[in-house]
Amino acid sequence: MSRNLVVASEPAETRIDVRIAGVEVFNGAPARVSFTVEAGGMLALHGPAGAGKSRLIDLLSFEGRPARGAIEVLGADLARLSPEEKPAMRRRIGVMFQDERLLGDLSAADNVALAAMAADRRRKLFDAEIDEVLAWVGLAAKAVEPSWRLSVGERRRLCLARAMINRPDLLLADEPTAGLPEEAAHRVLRLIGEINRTGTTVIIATRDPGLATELGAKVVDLAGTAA
Amino acid sequence: MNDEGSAPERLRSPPGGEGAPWWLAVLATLAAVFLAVATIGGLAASRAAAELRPRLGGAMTVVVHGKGLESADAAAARAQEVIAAVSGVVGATPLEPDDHDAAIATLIAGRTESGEARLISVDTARSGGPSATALGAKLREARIDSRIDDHRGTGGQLERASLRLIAGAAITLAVALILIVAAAFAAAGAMIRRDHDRFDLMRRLGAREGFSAGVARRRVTLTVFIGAVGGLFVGIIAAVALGGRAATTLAISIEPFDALAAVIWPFVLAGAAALASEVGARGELRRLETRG
Repeated sequence: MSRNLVVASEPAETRIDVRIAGVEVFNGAPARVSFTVEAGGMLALHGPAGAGKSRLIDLLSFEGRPARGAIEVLGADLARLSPEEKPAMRRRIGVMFQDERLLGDLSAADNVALAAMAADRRRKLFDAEIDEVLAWVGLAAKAVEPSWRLSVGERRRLCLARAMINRPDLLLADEPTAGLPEEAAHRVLRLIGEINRTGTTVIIATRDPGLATELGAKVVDLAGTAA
Repeated sequence: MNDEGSAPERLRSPPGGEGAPWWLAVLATLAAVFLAVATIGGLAASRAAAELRPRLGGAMTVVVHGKGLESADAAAARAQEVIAAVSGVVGATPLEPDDHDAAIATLIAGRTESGEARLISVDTARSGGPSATALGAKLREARIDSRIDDHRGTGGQLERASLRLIAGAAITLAVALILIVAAAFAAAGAMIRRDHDRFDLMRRLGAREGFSAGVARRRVTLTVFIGAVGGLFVGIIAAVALGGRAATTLAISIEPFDALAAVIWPFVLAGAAALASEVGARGELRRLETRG
């Protein structure tokens, strides 16, 4: 069974940051997904585990290619992007990975610094920014702590700080509140909301239907296609 | 779920994930030891050959001992007359033992001579000169206790030995470079596979291939360099020890410059490792990108 999901129209004069057209995701049955996200907009990919949310997040961060359909992110067509062009595009995207991907032996500050260094930035030029972004997520006092010592909520906020250190145009957050107690989850969502209000486009993958409502995000519901 | 929950085990870095494998340092150490010994030995042998050849000016050296009531000086004087009378001999010059350093004396005599020995340098015609056997027979006829060292081919032998050492050093260098290049190439790839989480994260964060390859290259190069510097010191100590012992029989001595020349090897090995690890790392990173 195949189902097409089209949730956003494209108003004239609006810059589109993300355009997904007929991309096939496999979640037990093939489903074709289409949507667009305006610059500065916020969209939630909602669905149960295995619905293809993380796959879409991966594709949007230039990881792999879809079997069918087209993906355009920040003006770059994924199908035409060469391996040499991908790093520059990835630097324009901040990703909160579902599995966090923090390096346990590095301090909180160094985990953030790694993202800046990967973007070829010089440490002395971004040291102040690390302090700033860690203070913003409430981890200024934990800057020198190894990340494995942080609590789950602190690690999630650290992931957000790392995703934002290079001031990306697009933030992709894969299950940013999964497993968090309510208060910690609200704190993360407040921060994501702040990011969006500064003009950063945000796409969130979530199983939580209340999350999109809390953030006031448009929703692409993948639930109907789940196995 | 408690917000203060402990970190998952997967967050911790795998043991040994920070550096290049230990066997790479061992390989670099061994390569540097062999290269240092070969370099120092080759240079010392070349110099010994160059220095010995002019000092072995005569065709033969006759070692004369006193016998019975006849002193060594008297025996040497008689031997000089006997030798000078032999057909094909163009000169027989008695030498003062003090003129010969211990190395030359031991080299041509094969054992330490007592103070009663006298040396006679014998020059022969280029063609038709007497053999050592013929000269010995004449001295025995005159009842002179003597021994003859025919070193007409010694210079050539020394040069050939020196060339063999240099060829050995070149082969050692080639083998060492091949091993280091192959090992560094493999180690860089293995390091990225072992530290997959770290390198894959850097890639996902937008790191260029060169940035991540540089991380692997620096680790491999530093490991090889440290190993090679250690090997250099071991090699210098070994060469001095071996050379010092050899000096009593082969007249080879180690000069500070010889050791200085070997200092180049850690840099050469590290340079080769840097190039190979860069290529190996980029190959592995490309596979990572393709799999992604």
